[in-house]
Amino acid sequence: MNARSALRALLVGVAAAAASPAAAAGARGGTLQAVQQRRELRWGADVFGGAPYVFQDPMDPNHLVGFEVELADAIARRLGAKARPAAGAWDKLLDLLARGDFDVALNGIEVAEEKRRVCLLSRPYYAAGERLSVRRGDPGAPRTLEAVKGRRVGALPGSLAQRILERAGAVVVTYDGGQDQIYDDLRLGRTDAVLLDDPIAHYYADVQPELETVPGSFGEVRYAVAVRLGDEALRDAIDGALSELARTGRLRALYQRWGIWNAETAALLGEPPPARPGLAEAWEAWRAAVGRPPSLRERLLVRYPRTFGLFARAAGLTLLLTLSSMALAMAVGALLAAARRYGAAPVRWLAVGVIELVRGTPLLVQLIMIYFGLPELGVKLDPFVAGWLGLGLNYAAAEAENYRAGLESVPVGQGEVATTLGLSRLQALRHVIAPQALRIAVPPMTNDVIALLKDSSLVSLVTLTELTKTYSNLAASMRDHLGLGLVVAAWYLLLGLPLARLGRLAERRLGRHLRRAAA
Amino acid sequence: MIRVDALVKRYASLAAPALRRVSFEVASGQLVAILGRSGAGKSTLLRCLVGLERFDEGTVEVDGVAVRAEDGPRGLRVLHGRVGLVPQSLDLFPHLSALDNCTLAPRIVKGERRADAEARASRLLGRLGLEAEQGAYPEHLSGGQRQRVAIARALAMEPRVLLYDEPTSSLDPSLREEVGRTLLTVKESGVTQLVSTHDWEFARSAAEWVLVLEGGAIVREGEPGQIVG
Repeated sequence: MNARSALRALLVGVAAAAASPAAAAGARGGTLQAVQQRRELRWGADVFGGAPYVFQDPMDPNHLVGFEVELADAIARRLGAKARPAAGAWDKLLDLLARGDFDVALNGIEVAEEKRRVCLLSRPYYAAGERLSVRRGDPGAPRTLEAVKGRRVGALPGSLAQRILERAGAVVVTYDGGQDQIYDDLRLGRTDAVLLDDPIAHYYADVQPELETVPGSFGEVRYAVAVRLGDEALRDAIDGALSELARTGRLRALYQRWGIWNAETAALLGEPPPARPGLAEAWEAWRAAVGRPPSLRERLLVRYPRTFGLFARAAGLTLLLTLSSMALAMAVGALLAAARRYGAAPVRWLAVGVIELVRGTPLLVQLIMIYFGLPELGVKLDPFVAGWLGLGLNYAAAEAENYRAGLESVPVGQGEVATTLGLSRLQALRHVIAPQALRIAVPPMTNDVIALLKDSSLVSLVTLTELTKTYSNLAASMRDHLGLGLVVAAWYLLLGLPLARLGRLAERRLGRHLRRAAA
Repeated sequence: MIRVDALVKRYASLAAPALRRVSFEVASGQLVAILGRSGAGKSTLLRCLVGLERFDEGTVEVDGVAVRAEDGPRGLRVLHGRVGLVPQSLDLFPHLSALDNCTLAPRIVKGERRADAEARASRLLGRLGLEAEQGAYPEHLSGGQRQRVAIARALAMEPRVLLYDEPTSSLDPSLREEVGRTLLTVKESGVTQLVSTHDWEFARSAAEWVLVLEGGAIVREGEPGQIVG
């Protein structure tokens, strides 16, 4: 998990660093105008475990809620537009922004000098202290910055908290997203402490009686809206909107409602420090929804049924992606196999090279290269097309090898007899060799369809919310990993079992000449 | 009629030529055996006559249509369909019924309508004693039945010449006579037949004329009674 996420972060970083100038240049000058023309502000955020920022309402996951949802709405209104959220992994939001997937990134993006190389930042809209959470009653718990040296401490990747911890000599454990999992690991003793921004600690640590948050702040982080390089006009418009929201007290009211109004933000907005926490209705609602796991009855009768629409849509996407990618894999695979078996020497080498290259590198790397790397060459693909191409081409290599095995299983004499009967090579392939080769190739093909169905989960990287991504989003916002895990397993089986059955039918049909009953 | 003139075939991997100036002629409707030990060049000769193998020198002529060595690989195509082959391993199409084995090439190569092709194939199979087996897949037929399907499949293309590669080798010895009878049945249709075999007994009993192949050359020929092993 850790090695994978590190590799992913590295590759995305490399791909995006190279891709951003091109994408930014393409968008120059026009984003504010575009937003006002289409009367829609597309803002990128990670809905994966993002309370209180952006998350699915645990009571009804069909709705996206969070203080940044309300902030985005307020900013968009002042730009004369409606806000429309777009999903992306948190540590890739700036890459997706540079790629042009949305107009702004607004999701706890920390103000940091090095970010100004890849994007423009608005004035900060929120300031948070870094809070250290530990297990309640743990005598060995590190409670100071000095004490974390050599201890395992959880944080979000690329965050200020991570840098603070590394400077203090802690063994930092970073997570792909789910803030819930960070605190779960602390509760289960896999880490000794967690250092995260105040709002996160408030929403994930403070609702768990087993955890406590050490008083005081370990550092301060500020959040800003990120826009593409060259979009000064949009940045200025957003600054104007934020100033007005601060001046009229709307920002304070918003933060108070979510229970995250703090001294740091008060100082940032030039207001007196908060006296006593008032009633934060949104926080209370969150606490009521996730503080204690709901009963099985409530889950089965109320919560899971509400996930039906989300899962059904995701299952549709997963199925569509699986079938269309398999079709592509079969077509390209057949060409590669034919080239490898019947082509002239250079064609053969080319086919072998392509097969070995595609088969020998991880699908994840290929997807990142297609989605984040190709824009460098001016090729910007739609997420679905990128996912379809990545999966289809990756599996084409496997299909090519299946077909090759099938073709090689047909005796040479079959083709020779067809030739003596006057069939051309193509006719012999189509009517004599392919039907026999297919019988050998079908069982591994069935296997591949099922594997493809599962590998399609990797396309969440290119912002497609398919079944697995839907599950991890829901599990984080509803804080229910086991129950929803069974639900998503059922959805996968619902898709996979008919495909397996279809494969067996094809196998029987192609092998009917071997059955006694046929005569 | 098939006429072979000074046929030479060399393989790059072999020092000696596989065929050295082989010449012979078989009149229309004749049944001729090519007799020789394994390695004598029988299979190579058959592969050249049927257009599966290029030859380096010489000419093959079938009913007035000639293929010369210098015609290249494309030249061999005129032999396809014109010269039929019953391979030693038969190579029936396992995924097709006996009937479909016989109708595939006429339908695809000649564009015959399915009904016409089936009617003709059915008559052919019937003449070879396979009325009841038309719908059966090769897997479910006996060795003798399979061989007759392979013959019917070749005859369905109405070749001028039909070649058999060791037709008795994969069969029970007791079936030798049956093969002989089948060849006579085919002879009634006027097709010229060439049978490659190492089986002296069979060659003597079935053929009208015998060519003896040794070391890639024809060393003797004559009526079956005159050829002595």
